Amino acid sequence: MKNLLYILLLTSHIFFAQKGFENGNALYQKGKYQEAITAYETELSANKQSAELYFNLGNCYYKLNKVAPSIYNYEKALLLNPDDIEIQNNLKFAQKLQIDDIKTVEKVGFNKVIQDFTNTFHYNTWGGITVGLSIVFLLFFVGYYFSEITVSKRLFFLGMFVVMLLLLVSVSSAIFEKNQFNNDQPAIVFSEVVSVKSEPKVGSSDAFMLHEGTKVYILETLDNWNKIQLTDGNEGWIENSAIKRLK
Amino acid sequence: MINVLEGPNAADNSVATTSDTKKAAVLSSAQFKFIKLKTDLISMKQSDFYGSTLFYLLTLLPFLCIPIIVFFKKKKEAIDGDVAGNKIKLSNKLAKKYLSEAQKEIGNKEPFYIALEKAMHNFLKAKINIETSEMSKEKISEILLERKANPESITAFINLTENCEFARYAPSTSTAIQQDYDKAVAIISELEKQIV
Repeated sequence: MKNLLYILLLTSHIFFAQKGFENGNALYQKGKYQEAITAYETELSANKQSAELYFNLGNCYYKLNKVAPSIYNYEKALLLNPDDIEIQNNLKFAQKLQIDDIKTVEKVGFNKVIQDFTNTFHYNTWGGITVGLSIVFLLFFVGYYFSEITVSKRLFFLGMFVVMLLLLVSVSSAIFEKNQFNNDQPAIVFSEVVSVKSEPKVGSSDAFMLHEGTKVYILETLDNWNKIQLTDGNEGWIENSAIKRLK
Repeated sequence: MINVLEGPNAADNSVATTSDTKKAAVLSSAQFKFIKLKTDLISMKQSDFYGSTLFYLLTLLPFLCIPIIVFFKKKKEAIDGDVAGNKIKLSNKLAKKYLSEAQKEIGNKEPFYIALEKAMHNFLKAKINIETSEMSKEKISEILLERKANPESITAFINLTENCEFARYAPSTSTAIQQDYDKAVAIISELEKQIV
């Protein structure tokens, strides 16, 4: 009886938790984008998130012609669900409103190959794979240790080595991917126009100008200055207030 | 957006334009997408599995199991290999089994004495490692004396064993049966303490 009550409480909690999202959808349908944003943001302030929520927020801002928040929310959505075609599609639409046109220089080489490989899974998934493999390793060991037939004993022994190798790969992938995740600090320029300085000082000379909606990667932080890198490899210092971190 | 349905009535000279609009229809699939209507909201404060204590525990546990498995297999082999020890263990088990059986049959004279005799028999087998074939009064008392048992207890034990055979066919009261049972338990526990 008590359990049933808990289940009811939990489900009703989930039901109510979606309410802001559904209200937002209804308002968006009516074309009340600003009100829809307010509705969606009640979810965010309740510490709830999802790729769809950010996507819908991005759509609202796009409809209101607010480039930076629109791109910001699409990028947020992509962080949670990187393979979603609809999000990628609408992000491209938002990027068309953006003034800066920065080329993306593709990384090449061995590091890129490793990155692509470890990128297949999130580091938590790699962690799960590691646990699974260590259990498989134990099973192979048991098979090797208790089997009486020479052939199966040999096969299990060989299998132990293979599983061990896979386990090492998955552990190092998890480490690499986590590292990558921590080092990757994207941010979106929110100021309409901002000058990127060559040094973290107000009076320093301008390296280049950026406009709202541009994606930058934060490399270092000093006081309220961030050393940023663009997708084309250019670097400079930008003030904290001009950008908003995605993570 | 224009949707052109291809039909047989389309004129030949308009084929080029039709294919043009067709191309446009394909291109227009890259349009601004509508909001998503379904979602599963999750908490922003999701704790990572990788790097958590649970992760390390689950990863290392199977490896910790390996020495344990090896240890238990070795131990089991040692136990299986110890023939004399197994015999003692079995006799001990049987002694206990028959004693409890005797307790159950305390109302019935014949099965009671049979069980009691068997219990004492197996107790001896377990304690002094003697075979049934070489069991005799002299041998039993000799070995028990060697193992520093009290001579009085030995006599009591032998008397009781003989009494079992005798009592099976002689008329006896239920109080006598109870007495015999108590005596057997007392002697066995006494010998258990004395024998080294």
